[in-house]
Parts: sequence; C-alpha cells; structure tokens
Amino acid sequence: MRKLLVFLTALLLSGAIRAELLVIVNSANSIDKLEHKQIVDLFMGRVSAFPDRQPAQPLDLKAGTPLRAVFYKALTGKSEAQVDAYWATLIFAGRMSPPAQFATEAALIQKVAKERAAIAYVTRQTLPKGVKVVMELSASQ
Amino acid sequence: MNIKSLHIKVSLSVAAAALFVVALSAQFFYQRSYQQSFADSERSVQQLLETVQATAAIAAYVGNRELAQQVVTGLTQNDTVVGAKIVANKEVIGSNGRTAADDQQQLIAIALSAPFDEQERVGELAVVPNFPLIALRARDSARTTTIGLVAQAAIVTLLVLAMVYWMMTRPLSQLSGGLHHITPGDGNRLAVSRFHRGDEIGVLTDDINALLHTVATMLEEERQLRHRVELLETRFRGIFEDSSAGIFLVREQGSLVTANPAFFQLAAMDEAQQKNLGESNVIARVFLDHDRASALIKLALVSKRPHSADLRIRNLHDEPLRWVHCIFSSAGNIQQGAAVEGVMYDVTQRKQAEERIRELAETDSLTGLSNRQAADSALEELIRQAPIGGREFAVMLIDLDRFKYINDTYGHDAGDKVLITIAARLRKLVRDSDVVARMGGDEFLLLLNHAGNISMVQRIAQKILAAQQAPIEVQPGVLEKIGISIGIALYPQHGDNPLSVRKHADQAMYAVKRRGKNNYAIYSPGESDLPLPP
Repeated sequence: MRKLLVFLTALLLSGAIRAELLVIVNSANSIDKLEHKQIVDLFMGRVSAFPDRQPAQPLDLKAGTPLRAVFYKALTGKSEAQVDAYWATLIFAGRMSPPAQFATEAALIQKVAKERAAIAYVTRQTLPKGVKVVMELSASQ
Repeated sequence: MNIKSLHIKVSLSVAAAALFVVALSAQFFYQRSYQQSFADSERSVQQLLETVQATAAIAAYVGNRELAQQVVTGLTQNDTVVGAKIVANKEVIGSNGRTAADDQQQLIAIALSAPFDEQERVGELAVVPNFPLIALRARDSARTTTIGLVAQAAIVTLLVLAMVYWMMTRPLSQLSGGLHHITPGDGNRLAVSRFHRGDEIGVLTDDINALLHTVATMLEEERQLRHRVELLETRFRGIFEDSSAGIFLVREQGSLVTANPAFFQLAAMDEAQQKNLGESNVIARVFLDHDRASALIKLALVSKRPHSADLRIRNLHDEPLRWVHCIFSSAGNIQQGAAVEGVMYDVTQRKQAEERIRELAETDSLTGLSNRQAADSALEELIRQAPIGGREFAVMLIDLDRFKYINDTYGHDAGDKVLITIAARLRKLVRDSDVVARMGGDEFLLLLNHAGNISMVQRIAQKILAAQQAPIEVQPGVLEKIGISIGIALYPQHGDNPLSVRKHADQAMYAVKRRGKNNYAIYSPGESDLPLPP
C-alpha cells in the first residue's frame, strides 16, 4: 500500500518535472521567438545581446533548485555540476560573470516583467502580463 | 697463444657473429627506438592538447582572451612545446611563445567545438612542438636502448665464450695436449672429468683410450714377435756362421748371393773377396767339376728336390786334391731369378780312404797290376760302354810257359821275381789306358782298348813275345829265359759278352800251348783244332 503511494507520488513528481519549460522575456521586448542555439548562447555567456542588438540579461534559479538542473540538461545536455564548472572556469579567468540567481520562479517572473533586457526560464504555467514566451523547451529532449 | 688454437677460432667466430648481429640489430633497434620515442613525444604533446581542450573550447566559445591566454601560457610551460595559440572566429584570442608562420608545417593542432554543441566548431588550438628537444630525447632514448642491447649482446657473447671454453675447447685442448704427450705403448691414458662422462668429449676420450690400448697391445705383440724373430735369427745366424759345412746361396747362373765363412774356407777363397765377385760364376771358380755342379743346380731347380754329389774343389796351387759332398736344393725365387741353396762339406779324407780301399781291392799285391776282379769288371765296363757296331778291342790272355819249373827249381822267391818282371814288361809295352791284370798264378790278361784291327793286335803280340827274349836273373848269377803263350780274342767278332770273349781267348791260348808254346794265336771260329800262326 505504501509502495503504491510512493509510486503514485513519483509518477506525479515526474509528471511535474517533465512538464515543459518556458523561456520568457519582457513583453516589451521586440523579439517574439528565439532559436534553441540563441537561448544557449545567451545563457552560457557567449552573447550578451538579443538578435536585434538590444542588451540581454539572463536570469537563473539558485544553484540546487531542481528546475535549474532540468533546464540546463534540457538546454545543453550538461549536468548542473558541469555547467557550474564551466562558469567557474570563466570566472577564474576573470571579466565574465554567470547569470544572476533568484530563489523562486515567482521572483524570476517578477524581475522579467520589470526588466526589459531580462530573459529567464520557468515551468509551464499561466503567466502574468508583462512577460512573454519566446521558446518552449521539452524536458525529455 | 696459438692463433690456430680451437679456442681462438671459436672465440673469433662467436665474436664476429655477435658483432654482425649487434651491428644489424643495433641499427634496427636504434631506428625503431628513435621513431617510437619520437612518436611517444608527439603523442604526449597531443595528450597535452587534449588535456586543455575543454578549457580552450570554452575560451574559444565565449571568445574569452584571458582564459585563452591562460591556456596557451600553461601549454608553453611544458618544455616539449615552444609555442601555442588559440584561434576563434579566425581571430587569435590567445598566443604565447613561437607561433611563427615558418613553423607552419610543424604545427600540431586540434579543433575546438562548442562546449554545448559538439557539432559546432568554434576555433582551433595549435602548438609548435619543441622538435629539437623531442629529437634529442628520442636520440638519447634510442642510444640508451642500443647501448643496453649491445651490452646485453656482449655479456651473452662473453658468457657463451666462457661456456664454450669451459665445456668444449678447454677439455678438447686438454685432450689434444694430453694425447700429444702420449707415446703409444707408454701405458699412459687420457683422463676424463666426471662432467664430460657420457657426452661427446667423454666418448671421444674413451675411444682414444681404447685405441691407445689396442695400439699398445699390438705394439707389445709386435715387440714380442720381433724379439722371437731376433732370437731365432741369432740362433740361425750362429748355425750359419759357425757351421763347419759351407752354406751358400747362388743364382741359377752361378753368381753368389751369400755364403758363410765355412764356404769360403772350403773353397779356398778369401771371404773379403766376396764383394769383388759380382755376377761372376762362383760355381765355375770353386768346383773342378763345374759342369756337374751346374747340372745339379739345374736339376734341383727343375725337380724341386735336393740333388747331391761328391765334387772336386778347384785348386789354384799344387795342393792335394780336395773333395766336398755338395747338396743343392731349390731355395725359391729371390730378386733376379731363381736361387739354389748349397750345402757342402769336406769329404777328402773319406774320399782318400775309399780310394785306398778300392785300390787295395782291385790290385794284385805282388805285381801292382789289377787283380782278377778288377779285370772282370773292367771288361764288363768296356763292353757296356762300347757302342754297338762301334769301337773294337782285343782281349789278350797270357800264360807263362815254364813257371812251374822255375818255382820248383829256384823257389817261390824266384817265381815271384819272374812274375814281377813280366808284369813290369807288360805294363810298359801297352798304353796307360789299356788294362793289365794278373788273373792268378802265372796268368795275365790284357785289355787293349785301341786295338782296332788284327794287324795292330798282332804287332803288339809280337812286341810282347820279343820282350820275353831277355833273360831274368832268378837267382844271383842264374839267368832264365821265360816263354809265354798268348791267346787273343777280339770284340765283338769273337764274342759279344765277357764270358765268350774270355773263353775264346782261353781257347786260343791253349791252342798255342799245344803247339809248342812261346807264341800267340788269334781265335779262329769253327776250328776246333787250332792252326799254327803264320
């Protein structure tokens, strides 16, 4: 009975984690759609501007947040630790800094709605006004 | 040290072979080791690049010059790398050390992919390896490997040489030296160590010892044989040298091969002359009867049996005649033809004694003439020797006419004197070769060898009758004339055998007696009553 309960909870959780991710920007942003590669380049620090040359500021969840690992895995195919090591390398070399980190998805959404240059990721949900989805990311990818 | 010694030969061969192998393999191993070492260095450079590949890729991906510079600086810390650079978007974002274009062909480069997309090429990491250093290290490594190899080969070679020396060449040279100092028959044998017992060297030693033993046995046998032969030779030489019999060896032609001292003594020759004889005929020189001697030699050779005879030695001076009994026997073939062995010994004394006995037996002691036996045998001999239809001879039988009267009147001494005188007269009147014999009493017999015809016989008979005209002094101062009656028979007219010839001569003589004596008559066959002589 307990086993069944655990199984059902796990099924429910996996369903939640497998739930699709949304990459969101400020609704004032002229970009409506971004390619997968463009998202990668933005989040991994290769480019610091949107394709329309407007400055971009990627936002991240706090290290250790389950969604963060799911996002990077889905985006780059790397684990969270690998991504942290990547950033550590760049930070050690200097003049490069990783995306700013926020504790919750709500804080992210709030920040994106406020900052025109912001870009962040959240689970699929009903979004408030002030943000728009530029790409949907499937976690099973 | 002997340059031809086995050990030197083996050592030189092994050393030459080892040198050859080392020379070949050293070159090969040096090359291989160099290439391997070089490849190792290149691979280590490659690995070095792979180590920093991820970091370099990040630097190229984000175009971070600081990170790129860190990477290339870190690379050039390595002494196998003299220069490094990272290119991203055709722009050098980090470089250190030599990156000159002249080293282009020597660059080792790897492509840099995007950290989050293996498909995307974001740049290139290239280094200039320190090829002189790599080559130097490769050479060092190769040299070390080669030196090790050579040293190993040298040690193995030395070990092989030592083994070969201890196990083969030294025992062999000991064997050879030992054998060299052994004289066959001295009893010495070669020693074999326990280590070599059963192997080839041991077997060789055993075989040599067996051979030495066989040789020693043979030598000993031969020595004993030689000793026996010497003993025999000494004995035979003693017999030969000391023999009183002359022993000699001659060839068929009569030349002397060898002779003992007794031979030269018997032959009245100086032994020193032997050398001067050469091929001359010794037989002809030694024997008076050399024809007989040569005939005996031929006979001995043909019949292969000994033949002997009494032969006379030829005397150079007027020494008394000497006789030897000589036996010839075939001695087989020596070089230059058949040889005959002769043995001779002095029989002069025996011969003289025989002669005396024969003379005594055949002589009438009173008159010195032949006696009846001698006359008989002489007659038989004459007839036997006379060829049929050949030579004739006459038998003359003589009887004194008045002998009984002389004997009776003057005594036997007077009779003897008459007989001696008549005998002397008869002997003087005929040839030496004619036989004059006293047959007993007052009867004499003459065998006239050469009386070829009747007239010759008659002449001799008349001479004999005439001689009797001289008177004989029977006693001092007393002279007597003695008449004789002669009966003659001729051979072969009057008889072909001794008996008939004698008988017919007898008949003729009695016929004379009957007719008045002191005359002669020749037998006339068919006349029983004998006619008067003419």
